[in-house]
Amino acid sequence: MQNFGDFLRKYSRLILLVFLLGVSFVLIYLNNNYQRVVMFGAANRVAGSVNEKYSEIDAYFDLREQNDMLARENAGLRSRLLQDQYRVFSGKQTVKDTQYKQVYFYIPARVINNSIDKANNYITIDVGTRQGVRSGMGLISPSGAVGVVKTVSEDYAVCMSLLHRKMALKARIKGTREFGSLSWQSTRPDELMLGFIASHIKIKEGDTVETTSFSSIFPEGIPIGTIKGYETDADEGYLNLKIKPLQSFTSLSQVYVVDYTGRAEQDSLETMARQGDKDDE
Amino acid sequence: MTGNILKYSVWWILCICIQLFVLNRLNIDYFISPQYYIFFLIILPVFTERHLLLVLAFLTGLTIDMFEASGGLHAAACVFTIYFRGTILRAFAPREGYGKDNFLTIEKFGLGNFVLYVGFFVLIHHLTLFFLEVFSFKNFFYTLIRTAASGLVSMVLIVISAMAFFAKSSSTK
Repeated sequence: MQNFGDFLRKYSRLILLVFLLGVSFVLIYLNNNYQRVVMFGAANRVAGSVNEKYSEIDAYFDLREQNDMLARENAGLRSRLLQDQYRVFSGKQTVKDTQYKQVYFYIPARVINNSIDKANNYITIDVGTRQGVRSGMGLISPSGAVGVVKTVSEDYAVCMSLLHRKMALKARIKGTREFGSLSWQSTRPDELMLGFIASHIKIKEGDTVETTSFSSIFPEGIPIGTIKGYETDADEGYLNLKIKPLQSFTSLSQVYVVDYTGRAEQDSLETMARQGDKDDE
Repeated sequence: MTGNILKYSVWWILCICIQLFVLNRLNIDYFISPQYYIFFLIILPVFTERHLLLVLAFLTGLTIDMFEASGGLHAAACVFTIYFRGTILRAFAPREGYGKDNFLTIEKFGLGNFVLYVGFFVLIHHLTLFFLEVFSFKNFFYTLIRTAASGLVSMVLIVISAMAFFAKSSSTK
C-alpha cells in the first residue's frame, strides 16, 4: 500500500497529464455531435453575444463595400421584375400565379463569425429558430453557395462551411449537367474538389460549377465556383476537378439561408422508395 | 504575491482577447494561423508549481476551444506542450541558473536563448495542434508548412510582446 502511495506521488504529474489529455480527447471526440449542441445552447450564449457585439462594430468598417454589393444585387433582382420587362406576347398569353408555388424561401442573415484557417471551418450567423432556420438548410451568399446549417439555437445558427472536411455536396457542371461530389481537401481555402466525374466528359477550364436540387438543400443552378484544372484518378477512371469558389470565404458578410419547403416531402418519398428496394431483395 | 496573480490574470485576459478578437478575425491565410495566446504559458514564472502549470494550460486551451468550438483541441495541445516546459527551460538555462526570483526575463536568458526557448515551445504546440486538427498524415507536407509558417509568425509576435512585457515589469520593480 505504501508502495502504491509512493508510485502515485512519483508519477503524479504524468498521471495528471494523461488525465487532462484524456479529457481533451474526449471533448474532441464528442465535438462532432453532442458537444456542439450543448456548447451552442449554453456556453455559446456568452460567446455568441460577444461575437455579435464584435461583428456589430466590425460591420461599420465595410459598410460602403456591403452597400455596393447589396445595390448590385438589388439591381439584378429589379431587372427580373415583370413590370420592367418587355412584353413579348400580347393578348391571350397570360400567366396565372396560381400555377406556381414558391418552394424556396430566403432568410437574410449576417455572418458574425467565420474562419478559413481550420481543417473544419464553420460560419456563425445571426438568425436562429426564431427566424425559422432549421438544421440542414443551405447557406448562400450573393456570389454563390457557401455552406449548410448545422446547429441552430434560438438566435444563432452555426453552418458547416464548404471549407469543411466532412462537407460532401452534389454539384454539377453547368453546360454538360454532369454531376459529381463536391468536397474540400483541407489544403487551401481557394480550392474545392469536384470528384467522380466520368473521364470521358470534356472539361473546359473556366466552366461554372453549380448546385443541383438532388440533395434537397439548394435550388438548382446556384453557382459555386469555376473549374481551374483537373487530375485523372487512373485506377478508377474518374476525373477530379479543381474548383475555385466564386465567393471568397475571407470576405463573407451578407448571406441568405435557403428554406426549401418541399424538403420533408422529397426526403420522405426518397426514403420510402429506398425502403421498397430493400423489401424487394 | 497578490500583485503577481493580478498581473498574470490581466495578461491572461489580454492574450485570450488578442487571439480571439484580433488574430482569429484577420483570417490571414489557411497557412498562417498564428496561435499567440500561448504567450501566457511561456511567460509564467519559472518555478510555478508543475501541477498548477498543467491545470493552467488546460484551462487556457479550453477557453480558446469554447470560443472556437473546437472541442478539446487547444486544451490537448497546451497540456502536452507545457509538460515539456521544464525540460526546455533547463536546456536553455543561463549558466548561473534562473536565480531566486521567479521571473523569466530576456536579460536572464540573453535574447538568443530566449528566442530558442520560445521557438521550441511554439514548435511543439503548433505541431501537436495542427496534426491533431487534421487528424491524419495525408497531406503531411501541407500541415508541416502550416506549422512552420504559423509558428514563425507566432514566434515573432511573442518575442515582441515579451520585450514589451519585461520592459514594463522591470520598470515597475
